Amino acid sequence: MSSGELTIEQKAVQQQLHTLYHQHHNWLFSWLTGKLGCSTQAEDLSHDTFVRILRKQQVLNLCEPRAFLTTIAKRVLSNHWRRDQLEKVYLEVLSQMPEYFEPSEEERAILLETLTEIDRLLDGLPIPVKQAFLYSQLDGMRQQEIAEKLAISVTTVKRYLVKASAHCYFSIAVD
Amino acid sequence: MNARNTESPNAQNGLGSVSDNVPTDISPQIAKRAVEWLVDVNEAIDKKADILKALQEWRDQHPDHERAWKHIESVNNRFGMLDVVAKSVAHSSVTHPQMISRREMIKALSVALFAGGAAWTAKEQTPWQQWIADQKTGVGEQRTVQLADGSQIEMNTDSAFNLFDNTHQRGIHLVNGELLISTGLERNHKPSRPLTIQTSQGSLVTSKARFSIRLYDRSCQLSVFDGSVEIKPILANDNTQTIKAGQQVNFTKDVINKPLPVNLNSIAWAQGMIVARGMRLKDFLTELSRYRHGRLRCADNIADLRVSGTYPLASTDRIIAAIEASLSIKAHYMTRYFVTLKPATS
Repeated sequence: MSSGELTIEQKAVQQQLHTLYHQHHNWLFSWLTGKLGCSTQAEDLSHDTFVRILRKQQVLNLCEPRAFLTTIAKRVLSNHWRRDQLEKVYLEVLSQMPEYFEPSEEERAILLETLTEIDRLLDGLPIPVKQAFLYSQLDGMRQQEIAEKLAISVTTVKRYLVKASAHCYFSIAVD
Repeated sequence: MNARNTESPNAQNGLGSVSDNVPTDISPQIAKRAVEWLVDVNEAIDKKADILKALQEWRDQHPDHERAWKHIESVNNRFGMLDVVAKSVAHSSVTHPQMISRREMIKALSVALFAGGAAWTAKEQTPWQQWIADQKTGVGEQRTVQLADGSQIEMNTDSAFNLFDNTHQRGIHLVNGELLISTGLERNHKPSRPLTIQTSQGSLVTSKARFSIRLYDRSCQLSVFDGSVEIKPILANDNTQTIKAGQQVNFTKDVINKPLPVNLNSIAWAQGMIVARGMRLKDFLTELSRYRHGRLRCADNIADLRVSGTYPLASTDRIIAAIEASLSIKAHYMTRYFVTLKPATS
């Protein structure tokens, strides 16, 4: 879809974002700098916040734009902290691995992004449901194996897998 | 790339996030059906071709079916990029959701990474309990401990326990691994009080028995060879059950499963052996991994080969060599810590 063929709605989205950016970017930047104590990171995260809003591609009903921005920015911020934690653990583990095991900078960035992503996608599910999902999706374990590992029935494993997948891929709740 | 990604205006960010691309306009019914397909496809072994064919028919039925499936595939492609280190971080971040302290995570992970075995996730109990345990064995180590009352405890690889003795109970707290315990069986010996074994799932009490207890991530296995042992799951204190000689049983915090006939091979380790009878190669390697550092695994297409034999645990490298010869497969060593068995021809 080329930019020359924007629908009316897309134009409205762009216009709104434009306004939001101009009126509140500096405010958001200071708010984030206060939280992070680092202006470079604050700049990155305020950018991420706007990117996130842009991705939604919806005209927003904004009575309180700053409250709205804060909500999104908080999400970006918690994502950032979580990624930071995961990165530290990842690097620490990596340092204990045999030397051949050295992913490139780019690979690392992708791995961390994916880890943070999985973490967020599974957020809110009970621990055993998450575990069942990871065993299945990351380790390719069969339901029987997962059942033994988690000491639950195969039927429960199957239910957990459907629940976790629905949550993870489509953000819907299934019981 | 799926249709959603090409619509995304966010091309400048090379690491586009999947979760922001969730196709929200797909109906929950279709979404649910799509994930059920995923679960079925992952589970399919012999009938994989049939299931994939049926899935294709479903995908062809409606563009939304296809979009839902494409979305699942795109997320899975991302997951597929994780390497072993990242996977272990993912597992641990799930079992330790708060990540209160990085050091705890590291310890948990080191256990997971270097204890080998099925344990690519951090164990449920707090790892430092292992470092401060009264008695412990390293990976590949086995040891016998004699208690003051004459009870004998044989410790398998990577095991740890604490002793406690108070006015109410004397006993041991199993923190990790597997023990073979003999108590009250010696001639001229009558212990004054029963012996209690506490585990993360429940406690065992016996006055006279020879039995083994093995701790898994979320369950325990008790095998009784002589005498009898009473189980009390932590969350079901009134649900106690006595397991008699010749029985083995798996139990969790709230459930005691049906007892099965005991498998003597399960304590071959006490003789320094590992015994397999028509065991799946993958399961055998999982078992063998408990006795060596690093990771030992096999290619999916040979996972179901059967292993039979009695092997001395003294050298796991020699066991690997023996299986290579008997199953016509080849071990690929990437340092001695990462071993992958593959078909000999590949």
